[in-house]
Amino acid sequence: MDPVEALSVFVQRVMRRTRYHAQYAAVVQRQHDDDTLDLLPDDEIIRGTGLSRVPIRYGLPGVRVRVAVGARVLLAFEGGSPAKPRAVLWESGAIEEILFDGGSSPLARVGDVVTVFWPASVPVSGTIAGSPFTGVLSIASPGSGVIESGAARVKA
Amino acid sequence: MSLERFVRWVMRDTRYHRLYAASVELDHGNDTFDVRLDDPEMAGQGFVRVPVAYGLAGSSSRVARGGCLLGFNGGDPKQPRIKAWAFEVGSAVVKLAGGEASVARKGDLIRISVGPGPIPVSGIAAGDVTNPSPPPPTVPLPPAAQFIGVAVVAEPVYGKIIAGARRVKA
Repeated sequence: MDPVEALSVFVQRVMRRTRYHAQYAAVVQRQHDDDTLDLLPDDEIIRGTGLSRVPIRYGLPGVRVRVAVGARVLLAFEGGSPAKPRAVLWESGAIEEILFDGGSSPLARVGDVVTVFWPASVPVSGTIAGSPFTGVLSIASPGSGVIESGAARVKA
Repeated sequence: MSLERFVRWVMRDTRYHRLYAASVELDHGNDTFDVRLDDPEMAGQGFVRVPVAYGLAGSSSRVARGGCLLGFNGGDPKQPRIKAWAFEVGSAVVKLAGGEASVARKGDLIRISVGPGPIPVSGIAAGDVTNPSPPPPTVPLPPAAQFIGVAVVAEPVYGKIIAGARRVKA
């Protein structure tokens, strides 16, 4: 080994931790109930036998996601530490659920159905066959409708 | 100084290539935050009014508390950015595409506007008319009796959303 090559190897060894400054593509093998992921990185050096129970750091506060097996994600290392892997950014189409603030109710959208509960009785008055009358209408079953307007730039 | 230490010293700025765990200390309300880094070597620098690089274009947020990842654009210590967030229930209000209205969800209440005022109603009536007084108490309606009048819905009409997005929940 010539001196330059030896110096190069030496510097690479000294700076080996900078390998964990980069972000690496990985495939989701499993998502646990606490949202952590088992990941298999594409990079052979990083891959090892895969990384288990990797926490996710999200692109929005207050949001968590459930993803499908096979989803692709970028893997980063907190503080450049190989002991602190974090899943950070996603390729499109990887989502099973996006959950805002821990909620579990589906977001309503334009076109979604609503049920309308009418009052028990509705006063009516008018004429029948020309004779005046008053009375009440009882609407026995709920009505239904659809949401007609919504956010122009947020869709789900 | 050993050669190893010398190399580390020359390359010391690579620490700004890392992502660091941090906590939100103050939200300035304009998508900048004061944050405290967990790493003691970096914590003393005072990261104030740090902008956010959101993982979703068109987003903004108010964050009361919580963990995040802080990085540096271009590895430049003068360009810290919050680049990702730890999930915590009740920690944040998110706004998408500049919106101000709360989103609705399946199960949320809706109020229907009926009217205002009396609602014209009409149709064909059949059966008997009961007179409160005087007798005769009931009179059969003629066939295809025209009914014209108004209905008054005085109380609010409520409803409930019963469908929503399968994959997006709140």
